[in-house]
Amino acid sequence: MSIDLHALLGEVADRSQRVHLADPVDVRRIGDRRARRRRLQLAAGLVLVAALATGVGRALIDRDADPKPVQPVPSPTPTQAPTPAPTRSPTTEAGSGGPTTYPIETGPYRFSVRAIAVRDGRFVVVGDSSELGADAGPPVYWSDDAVQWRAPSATGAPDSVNVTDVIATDEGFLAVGLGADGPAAWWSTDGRTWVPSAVDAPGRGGADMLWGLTSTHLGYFAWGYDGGHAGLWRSTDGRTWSPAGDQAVFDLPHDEAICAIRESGDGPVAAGVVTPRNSSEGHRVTWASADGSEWVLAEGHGPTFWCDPPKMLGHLEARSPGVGRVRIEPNGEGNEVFVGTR
Amino acid sequence: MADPASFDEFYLGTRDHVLRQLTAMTADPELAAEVVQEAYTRAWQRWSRVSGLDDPAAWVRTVAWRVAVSHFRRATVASRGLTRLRRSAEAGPPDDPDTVLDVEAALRRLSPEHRRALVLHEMVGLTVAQIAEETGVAQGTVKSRLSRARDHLVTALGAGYPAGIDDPPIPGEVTR
Repeated sequence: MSIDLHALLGEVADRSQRVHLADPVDVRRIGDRRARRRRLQLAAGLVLVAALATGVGRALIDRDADPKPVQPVPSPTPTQAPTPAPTRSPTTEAGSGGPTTYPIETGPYRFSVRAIAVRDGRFVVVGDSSELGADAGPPVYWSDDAVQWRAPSATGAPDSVNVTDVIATDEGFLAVGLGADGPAAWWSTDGRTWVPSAVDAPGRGGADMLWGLTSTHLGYFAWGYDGGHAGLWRSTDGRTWSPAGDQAVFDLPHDEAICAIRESGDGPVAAGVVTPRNSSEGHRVTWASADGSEWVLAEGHGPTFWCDPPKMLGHLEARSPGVGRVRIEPNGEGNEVFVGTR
Repeated sequence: MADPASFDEFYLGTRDHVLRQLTAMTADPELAAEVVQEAYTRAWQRWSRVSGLDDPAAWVRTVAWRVAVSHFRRATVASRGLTRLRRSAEAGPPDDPDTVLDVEAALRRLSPEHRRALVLHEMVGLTVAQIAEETGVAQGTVKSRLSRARDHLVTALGAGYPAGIDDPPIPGEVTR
């Protein structure tokens, strides 16, 4: 028997007429975006090296220490209730009728979840997708049931490989992290399409980024590093961020970090830690403000504690009426969510 | 700095051919589109170098194939394969000619490397030597793959399949 292989293969190939390839400008845009992400991966590596070189970094690697993180800041967003990092393993919880574990399907890409938020039933998780030597995936995923997670489109995802925190607002979502030029923030109305916010970070460098953000009655605050020292930013709408007053007050003689912002009766308070160089111990430090613009060092010393901004103080839990409580485990496998209560 | 205009011209001029070839190689139009898109994206990222190659389209085709192979190896694709098998066992879409489904199913039974060799020879028109160069194997291996691919297709399609012209000879191959 003889068959016309050329014709047969042609028939199969004709099925490609049903699919649509992108316009060339979109192909180039994706390629350019990927190149920027590679540069970000290098920047993320620099951040890690810098963190390891500081007292804050020592908290990341000192597993024998007894971490005493400051209490997470309750989000003013009613759908969020941050809690300390859970200690039970997913297997134990699943075996005892506890929350069900669902993986965030990330395809070939690495993803280590950092924070979660929900608004109107739409969940959003953000995290670290950096992977040296390989293509990085998106740093954001969204879901309407906390089970099936999807990535934003290639053009709708934050141009980042490390988004450290996310909160829900009346208008949508706000997120912060590491951008192409250091500290970066994004906003989204639906969690699927993200727009870069303008971040005024005059001292920005390769190791600078934003660690977290929260909402207060004086507006939004985000904290992180700028110019190698702790920095605090403020925004009224989440789309434009400016330094919250004179940043020199946050630049202490030793390594320092802002860990959280909490509201007191007298105004917002920034809680942080300062670690003498070459020391394994840190000291509590706080800054206070009456109006959110002028900050003063309120307390120089206190109980020894550790502050691990990206792993301990992010928004680790979110609730929606339809799904219930959804929790992430930033110290676990990295790409799992726990749905349900116990 | 890469030249966007030359890339756009190359992309628009070659994408349909490469997509058709990868569709036949993978027997999966959606997967083919995915990997072809990925390959062109990588081509743009290296356009200053790729544009200087003798045959940039061959580079894209090879990259697309490697991406496809990595897909084949992933469990997610395995589950898609099960879905396809179930779909093939059921009635095909109304606008799918039965013959195309038959050939697709037969192609899927071939190993990926057999499909690749077959498409490069029958569709792209490469010689055994050129296929050997593109796929990185010996010419004898290419001949063997082509021969086995034909045999498997004939067996899979069965004696009742519409016959066509005689198989075109493979350069350098002894006609049996």
